[in-house]
Amino acid sequence: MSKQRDELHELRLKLSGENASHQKEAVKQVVAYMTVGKDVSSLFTEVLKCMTTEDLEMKKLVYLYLMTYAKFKPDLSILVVNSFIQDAKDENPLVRALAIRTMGSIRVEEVTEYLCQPLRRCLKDDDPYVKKTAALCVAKLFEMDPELIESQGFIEDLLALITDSNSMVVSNALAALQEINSVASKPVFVIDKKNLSKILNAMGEANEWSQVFILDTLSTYTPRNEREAESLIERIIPRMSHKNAAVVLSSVRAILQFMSNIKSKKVLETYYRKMAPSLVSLLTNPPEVQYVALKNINLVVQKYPTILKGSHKVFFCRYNDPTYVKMEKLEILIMLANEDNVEALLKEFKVYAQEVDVTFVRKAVRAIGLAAIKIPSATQRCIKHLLSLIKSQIHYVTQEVVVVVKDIFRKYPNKYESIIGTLCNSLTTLDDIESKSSMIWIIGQYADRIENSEELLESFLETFDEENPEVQLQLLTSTVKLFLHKPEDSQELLQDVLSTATQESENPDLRERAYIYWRMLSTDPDVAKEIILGEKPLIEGTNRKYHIDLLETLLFNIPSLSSVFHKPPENFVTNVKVFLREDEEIENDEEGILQVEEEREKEQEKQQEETTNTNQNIGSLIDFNSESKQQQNQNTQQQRTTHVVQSQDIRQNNNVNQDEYGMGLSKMNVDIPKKLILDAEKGEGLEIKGIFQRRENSIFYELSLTNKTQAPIGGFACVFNTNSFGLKPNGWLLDGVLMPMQTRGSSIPCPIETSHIKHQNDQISNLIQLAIGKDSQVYYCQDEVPFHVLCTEDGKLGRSEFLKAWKDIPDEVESLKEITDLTESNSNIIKLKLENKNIFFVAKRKADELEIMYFSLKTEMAGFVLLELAIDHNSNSIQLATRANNIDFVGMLELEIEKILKEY
Amino acid sequence: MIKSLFILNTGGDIVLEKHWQGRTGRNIITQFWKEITKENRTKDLPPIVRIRRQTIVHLRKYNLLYLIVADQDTSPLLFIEFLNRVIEVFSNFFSTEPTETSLKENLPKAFELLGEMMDNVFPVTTETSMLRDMIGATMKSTPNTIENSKKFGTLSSDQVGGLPWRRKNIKHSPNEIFFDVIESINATIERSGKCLSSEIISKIVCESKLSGMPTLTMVFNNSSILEDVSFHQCINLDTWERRKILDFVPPDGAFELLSYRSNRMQTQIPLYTSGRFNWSKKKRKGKFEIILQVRNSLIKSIDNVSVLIPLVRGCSSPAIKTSNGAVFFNDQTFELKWEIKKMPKNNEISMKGSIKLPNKGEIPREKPVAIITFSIEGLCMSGLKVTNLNISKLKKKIFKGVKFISKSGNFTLKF
Repeated sequence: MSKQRDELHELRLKLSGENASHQKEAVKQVVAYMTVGKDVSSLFTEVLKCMTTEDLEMKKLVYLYLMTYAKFKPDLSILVVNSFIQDAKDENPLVRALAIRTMGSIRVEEVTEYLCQPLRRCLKDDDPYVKKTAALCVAKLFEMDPELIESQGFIEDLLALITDSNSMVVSNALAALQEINSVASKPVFVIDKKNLSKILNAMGEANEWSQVFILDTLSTYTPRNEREAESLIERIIPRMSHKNAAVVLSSVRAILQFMSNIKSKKVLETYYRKMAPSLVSLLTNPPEVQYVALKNINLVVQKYPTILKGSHKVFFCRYNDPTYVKMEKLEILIMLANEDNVEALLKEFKVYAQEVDVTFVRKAVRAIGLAAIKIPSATQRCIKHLLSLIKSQIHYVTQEVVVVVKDIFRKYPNKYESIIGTLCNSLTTLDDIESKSSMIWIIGQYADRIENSEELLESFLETFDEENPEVQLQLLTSTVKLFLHKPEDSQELLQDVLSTATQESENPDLRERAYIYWRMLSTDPDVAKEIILGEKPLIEGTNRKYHIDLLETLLFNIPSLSSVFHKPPENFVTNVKVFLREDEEIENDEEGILQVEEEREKEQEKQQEETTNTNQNIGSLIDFNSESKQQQNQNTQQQRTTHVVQSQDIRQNNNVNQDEYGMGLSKMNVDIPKKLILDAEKGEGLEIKGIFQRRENSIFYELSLTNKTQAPIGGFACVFNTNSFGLKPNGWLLDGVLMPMQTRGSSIPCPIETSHIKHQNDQISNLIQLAIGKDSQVYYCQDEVPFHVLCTEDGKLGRSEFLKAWKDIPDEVESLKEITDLTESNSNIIKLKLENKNIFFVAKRKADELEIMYFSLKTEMAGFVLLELAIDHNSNSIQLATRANNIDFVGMLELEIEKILKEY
Repeated sequence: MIKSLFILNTGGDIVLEKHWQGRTGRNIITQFWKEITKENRTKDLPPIVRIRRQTIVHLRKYNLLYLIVADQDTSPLLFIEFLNRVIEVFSNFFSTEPTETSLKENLPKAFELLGEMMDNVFPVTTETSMLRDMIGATMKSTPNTIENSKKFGTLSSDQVGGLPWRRKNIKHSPNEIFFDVIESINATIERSGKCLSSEIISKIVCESKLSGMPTLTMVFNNSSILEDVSFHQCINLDTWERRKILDFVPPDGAFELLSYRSNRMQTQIPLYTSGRFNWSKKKRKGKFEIILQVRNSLIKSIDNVSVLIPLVRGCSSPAIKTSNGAVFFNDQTFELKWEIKKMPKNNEISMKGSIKLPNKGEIPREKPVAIITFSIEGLCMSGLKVTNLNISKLKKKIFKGVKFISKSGNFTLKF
């Protein structure tokens, strides 16, 4: 500690000294400390003085220091302003630009106003370097204070720069305008035919990064006619040969956009031909670039299946490709499979299936199956490969083969069933849900051809209760099928399953499906047979994974994250600004992180998979339940319906549970065991138990006092020491006298009084020291205040309020905590537990595998506190993020939440 | 847009952090680190991950982990390219690979560079030669004086004058420019010797020391080889599109002029190879044989051939016979390496032998691959030749030259 102080002292001396080289050394040292996270903010004034240096390198270092610490010393930053204004007039354009750039990055509101004048001058500077730096500065300031920028007319200044003679200035002005567009409430700049040619010219001369920005801006332009679209494309095509992959991808996107305005097949064909090599050449980059490229190529190929015809070899996996690249390559290979290349592809797939990485191997097996479904002429060969893979006896390979074979059966019924025998023989333990259900489906579907089908099924049924719902459903359906095939052998089995499913299962989906079968079978077995064993719609192989609308959106957002994650941008990004097409309505993105509602999600989910209509509503009853891509094509629709029903049911169920649970909890409120605060020995016969509680908008100290002496006790009093929360008892401990062996309850209101708050070294503690008096004796003891009693009843925020408050608190203030080993991760129960403690639910949403819930609460001393709970159901853990204006209490709050969640 | 850049060392400690927009808390880095160290999967976490509403783009180079934190839906490719550029610029400026040590030694410089490379959220100057002028790599030795900064004053107009990659008033003596056409052959060969897939990934790198603003034109014998090509920004793309010749004003110093990919092996694979590898369960041994032969019609010789076979952990006691060259076994990395300085012209050469598996453990399911490296000087496998190289606007005598090298890229034999 003192060593550090010495160091700082020495630095301070050097900084204020006269020796220029010592000064510079010291500044360097300060910056070095800064970067490793040491606090050198106390040297602010001294470093500031060095700003007048004429040494450019040193000036830069001082500026760097200022950028980091100015925010924490806004009052001192004002001192800097004058030097900045001086520097912005310096005769050296580099210094002028540096000053403007740094001022823009300081982000201290107080400084912003003073910046306007020098900024305006620099925007009209003679030197293009200064001008282009100033252009970017406008964008920075806009983010901090849009009104100021607009009212000062800077937007107009920027627009004027578009016609500048220097292309660097033009491209920076464009970049700035685009950035402003992305945060402004309404676009400040659109491309029209007037500025179009200027922009195109600038693109030709701009540096690579500006080209990316220009191309992205350009993509939002709608050509007036086909001819214009063509000429635009011609201008962009050469960019596709750029070294910088970002330029290539942005060009591809722009061209794809403009191509939608062109009708001539022949013209389009030439563009495809030019685009293909550029896409492919992206794969010569490092794996990170390849990954993004592959994700995007995937989309392009879905839309234009023939564009990469004949290029399949490029996508063959190399032994040293990272897994994420291999997975994407494989996906594209499947899409490219056709009659001509299937031979070569199958060979590759088979090699992949022998690799070590489990996920990759499974996908490779899947790929063989997909090839079989997509290309009928190759099916026989695929099956041969699959059978040879079964022989490998590797657990996960066999499991995957089962799933794949099931799909093949569904595509080509009554053709390849001869392999069932081999399949059944090599059955090892199946533990994967999908392969298990696949096997069960096969047994049910072909119960008549499998000799010991009832035995096989019976062995699966033994563990019926422990199975996953999906497997249970499949077991139910297959048992019914078995019964219809071989009634005499399986009546008992069926009875068992139906009664277990209807009477013991808590899954409404299973229950209801069992009822339907039951009724069908008891009404008319022949009709039931006709329906249940009826002909199934065939599954089809298709390249298109996404619904065309979603695909278009993704293609439109090509260079962006959504094209990598294959999700529409508004799905996962904060302060989204979607690249909107003109014909699309602007959605209200205000809610950014919170636009959550389940309907929306469901809708998207539905969109995600291509759905085809099948009007058999009972299709899913009869048919296969687990989902692989092809099947979804068919019965997603019905399945969705069932899912919806199911989830509603669950919700109702939960509601019921909730109520029970809720009542339980509120009852518990009264019965919460009080904690012993004063034992009879210490209290000379007086035993006190107590607990802090909240009801009717106030905090009470609930006590129970027992007299364990043989004499009455009286003259009670209770005083709290000053404490972190300012709680002060307002009332008597107990009126009157406590008779021997008598126990009486008492409840003392404890309002919060600011005067009673203890400020001591910022040490926050939830301990209350109290003094209990009886008959002129005083006993000292202490108790804990559970944080939740401080949460007021009006702590619920609306969504938009929440969102605003959330954004107002900077990221770095956010506190994170991981809560593991939860016994209960059901979001409804979590919601209930927390709301019971005045921690209010605001919204929830799903993000990938996580369920994210938002809560708000209010306390008198800390105002509103915002919480985000990211629930990971797989590991039963929660990532808790807390944002509050007053962060003193956060640590305590986090512990409290953990406690609440882990409570029964 | 890019909010922050973090550089972490192998232990997850932050070596450098630079914030362009606000300040990103270190929280997210802690979380990311947890994610990336999970289940030992450092190598395979996709380069773009989402952690709590933020996007992290990361890549690893020289044992440093570069992370970009962004919070809007923008082009991840831009970030990746920018990171690659940062690494390139760092290595040029530190005159050594940017490792933890060299980065720590050069922290102020790194900050200065990052400050120039990106303004707010826009990458701006990322060309080493331009940055050199703005930052002055030798500033350490020559203290910066007012004259110096005056001199810099002229730079700015240079920089935005015409060409973003070249300043005016460059003087060299003698004037020289050299090109290396380097073709890397990627191929996957079956054990029978049949080529499963092959392609050529090539680049032309250039070392330019020319005065003034020279304009170069380069003409190729067959421009269609360059169908699948990416150019340095100095190349006039419109001229290429129209006339299929290269027209450019080169940057000063070393740079990569273009890269291309071609899957038309005009001639066949230069080196035939075949072999077999079997794990014997009974003897707990791997038995193998590899044969190499130069293709008959190849006019140049193949040099520095090596065959590397990475084996499973614990293998030992190789017993090997070769017709040519020497074999080494590294018992730390369990790699077997066969080296042949010069390939004989007409004979096939072979290596044959066995290796012991460790006494316990499963017999590997996978067969290893053989990674083959070689180089051929003075020849391009794609058949590309430069037929004309013209330099205008320069009166002085110029030394110029083009060198051709073909070598193995990802050249593997699958047993």
